[in-house]
Amino acid sequence: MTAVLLLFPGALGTGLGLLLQPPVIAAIFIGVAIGIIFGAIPGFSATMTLILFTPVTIPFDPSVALVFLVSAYGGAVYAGSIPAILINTPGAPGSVVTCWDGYELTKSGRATYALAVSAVVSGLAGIIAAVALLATGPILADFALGFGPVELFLLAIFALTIIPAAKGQSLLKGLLGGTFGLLVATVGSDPQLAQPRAIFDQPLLRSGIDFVVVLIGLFVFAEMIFLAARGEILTTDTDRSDDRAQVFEGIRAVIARPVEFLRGTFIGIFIGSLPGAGADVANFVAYNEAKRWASNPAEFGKGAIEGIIAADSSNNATQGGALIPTLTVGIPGSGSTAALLSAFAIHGLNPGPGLFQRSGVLVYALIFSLFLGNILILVYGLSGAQYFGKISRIPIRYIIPTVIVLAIVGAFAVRNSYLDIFIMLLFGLVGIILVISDYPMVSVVIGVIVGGFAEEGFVQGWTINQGDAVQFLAASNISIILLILIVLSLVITAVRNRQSE
Amino acid sequence: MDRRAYLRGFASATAIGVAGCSDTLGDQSYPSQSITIIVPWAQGGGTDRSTRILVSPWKEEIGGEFVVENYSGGSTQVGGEQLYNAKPDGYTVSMWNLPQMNATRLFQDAPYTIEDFDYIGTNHFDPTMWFAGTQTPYENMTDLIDAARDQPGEITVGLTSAVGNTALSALLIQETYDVEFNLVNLEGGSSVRQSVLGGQVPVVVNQPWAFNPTNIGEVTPLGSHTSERQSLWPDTPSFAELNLGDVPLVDEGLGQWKLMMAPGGLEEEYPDRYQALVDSYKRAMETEEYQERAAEQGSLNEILRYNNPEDTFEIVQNVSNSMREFEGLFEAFRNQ
Amino acid sequence: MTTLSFRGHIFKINAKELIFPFLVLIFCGAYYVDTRGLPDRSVLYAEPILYTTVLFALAVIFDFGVQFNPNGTDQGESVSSMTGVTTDKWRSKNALYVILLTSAYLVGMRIQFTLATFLFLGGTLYTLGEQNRQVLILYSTVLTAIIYAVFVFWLRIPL
Repeated sequence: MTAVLLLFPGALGTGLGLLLQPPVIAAIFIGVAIGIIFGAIPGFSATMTLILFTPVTIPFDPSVALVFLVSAYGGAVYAGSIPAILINTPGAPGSVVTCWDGYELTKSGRATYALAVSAVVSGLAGIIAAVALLATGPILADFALGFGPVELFLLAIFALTIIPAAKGQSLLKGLLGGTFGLLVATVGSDPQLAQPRAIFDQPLLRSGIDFVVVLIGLFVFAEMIFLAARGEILTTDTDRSDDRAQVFEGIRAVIARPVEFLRGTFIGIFIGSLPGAGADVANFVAYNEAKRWASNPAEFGKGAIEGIIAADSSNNATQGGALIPTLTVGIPGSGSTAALLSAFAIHGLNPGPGLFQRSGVLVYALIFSLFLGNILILVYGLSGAQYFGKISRIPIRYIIPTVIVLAIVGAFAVRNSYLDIFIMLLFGLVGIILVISDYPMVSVVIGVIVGGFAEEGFVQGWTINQGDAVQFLAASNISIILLILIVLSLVITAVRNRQSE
Repeated sequence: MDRRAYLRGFASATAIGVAGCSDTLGDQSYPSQSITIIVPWAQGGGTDRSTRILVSPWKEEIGGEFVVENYSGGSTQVGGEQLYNAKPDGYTVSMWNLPQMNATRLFQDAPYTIEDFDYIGTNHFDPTMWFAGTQTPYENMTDLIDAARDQPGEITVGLTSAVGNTALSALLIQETYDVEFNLVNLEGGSSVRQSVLGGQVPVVVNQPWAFNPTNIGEVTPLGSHTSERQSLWPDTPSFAELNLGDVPLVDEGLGQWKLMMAPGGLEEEYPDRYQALVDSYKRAMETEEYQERAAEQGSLNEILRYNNPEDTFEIVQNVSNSMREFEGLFEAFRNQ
Repeated sequence: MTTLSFRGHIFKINAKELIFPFLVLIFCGAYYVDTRGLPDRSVLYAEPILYTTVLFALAVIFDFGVQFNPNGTDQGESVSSMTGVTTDKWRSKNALYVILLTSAYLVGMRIQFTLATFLFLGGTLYTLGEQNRQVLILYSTVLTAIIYAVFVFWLRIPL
């Protein structure tokens, strides 16, 4: 705590005072609730929620408005996992991997258990990330600054190592899916000369194909189609054990796995703090690491609670992480924090060096609101778990049209464009083909998600290092560490795959 | 051009069609729905921020609602085409930048020309400025040029976009002093800032406000592509002071203009609405509220510069001409 | 699965395995044609990715799609664990209807969003087996109203 306190100690107490005013407290309660509602809608990510609600906050006092938005941000990241667990459709890119184990649990009637675990780890991870923001903010900010184009490219490669580690499907198919995803991400203006590539006379495609739209197609639309064919969510009627018991079971499950929880949290804080990568990348990396170090890797994807712990601790921890470079150097740590910078401008905050001297009271109030906000996530999530769990028992004829309309509105809202809805539909059909011919869908998604910054990082890093491959790879200590991690990751995966054969 | 002509035709047809009722409604009712401001950059960037703080005072002056919509991508071309294809009915405007607007036309085959828009007024002028990391030995632009002479193509210089004021400034320095940099497009102000503060790139070109004056002391400012010093980074010498007057555009000042524009045909079809926009925009720029909000955003108020529509168009023409004059430099850079 | 023979060699073609790689190849072809004239720096990264993708697509075709003189008679049918394609009561017709209804909705929403939403909601619910007229109307009306009020009116998404 001392590092920041030295910056501007006087504001700490007054920040707490500001936070305790009734309108600000109310903003946290309402913000978290709104974040949860919108985050839970498949197709509305935390970023989208922030963009849509920024204008709504204009009439309010800066403290109320910004605390509201930061709370909604946290709530939305958490809530992305609710539809992931219940109907196998991630509410946001940060919750893709939550589906894998969460939905398996739902199918066997244990949705409430999965939801309780998700709520506990999300809330706790958010609180730990807030502590990190308060205590190590300036140090982590320096580290984030050192994370340049080469390092970002290598991080993308590291995230891609989940493809060979994906559950027992063909490696070759996974690689095809992955490179296809990477290629899709290159559509649009190139990062050096802004020349259009494969935009086929669609001006909007100059800004590329948005991965949120791809995700809605592959995971939400395709899943609804399969749900229509399948007829129901639950595959068993046997387990109808008391929901309340499942909630307590969930709490105990987390307490019994502190290492898994902390690993996910720290991966989330770390990746969140990097400019350009957020919850969308963190959940893949955290899941991959959880599986790698697990004693029961074969259980992953079949309802392993460790999978949910990894995914949901990492995605909620990215919020505190992403706020670090955003506040201290004015460089957004993720898409959501870039949207937050708009709101900061409207409400008179100018992030960057000296922010704590200029607006310390407000900034401390914001940071403190993370604590209360995440406790609320825990409270809302745990008390809601038994009721949300009932969604999986709603007849699918109501779920399917509702989710499709919301997904279409979400896809449209990304850029206010009908083109995006068509892209969504197109990728929905691709998703159906992928499932029918047994491709690991994750490979396409991870390709599209990291593709944007992989290309930018590679092209910029390559140009900076004048096309010298050795100099490129050894650009810094961080890049060497990343290289070692990539090699280790591949070797361990290879050994594990051989063992399981 | 066809599209534009069609839209004009459409607009006049509509105008005739509704002429009967427009008497009863009158243009006193304008704006009767919310006005969209297109921002051709992402949320949180300089253009976005300077637009969003304008919304509240402008809303008061015009007596209507505004909605800001971001269309990033293609170095402003995506948002530009949105504006170009919008109906000139006074319900769509855009905060655009020069010379990005001209650059998209010249180098990315954008379908519009400067004649295709109506101009409401300028917002601010942010000059081009060079920055070096504090770990580098360069203290000003002259040091950098000397070093570049000794190590041709070795010094990496980061730019904010493929074609624009930062690229032009770098190309003009290269051309004038026959030196060569290793130019890299870092695409956007925040990555330029990050790269130089984080030490991945020794030198970057940006604008003083865009770089955010809160960073004074964190980097070494090398010089501004102007004849006079800049108030935002007062200790930074201008190119003229450094005797770099041989570089073109120093007297005129090379930088980035932000300006408020509307789809072409608005002035002709709805002169009242156009006038309402022009007048209220000017008043909004002068309000104390806007000045205060601008001051909070890294002293933006110090570089705010309003010009009326005629003068704005003259600026647009001048920028367009100089971009055309140096088109060959960009072509060579693109194909190198 | 189709079996072909040519000069004593037997080829087995698995059409299901060919769909995705062929789609990818078409996309790659279009991508290649579109980016041919661009400066090298514009495709510095995209070009290697493009070629790698083509290579993997061809590899998948030869590994899964076409079998050359196969030894065994059948290749184990792989089943996705993720969506449970294995369920016995598989209703492909429902899936097809939902795809068609969604496509119609996309066309309709460009004409009138609210009306199209109302019709899509009711139509899909009916297709999926809801018979009660009151439920159909109530569900469609309430949900359309909520979506209009929240997204179009309050959050100003220009639908």
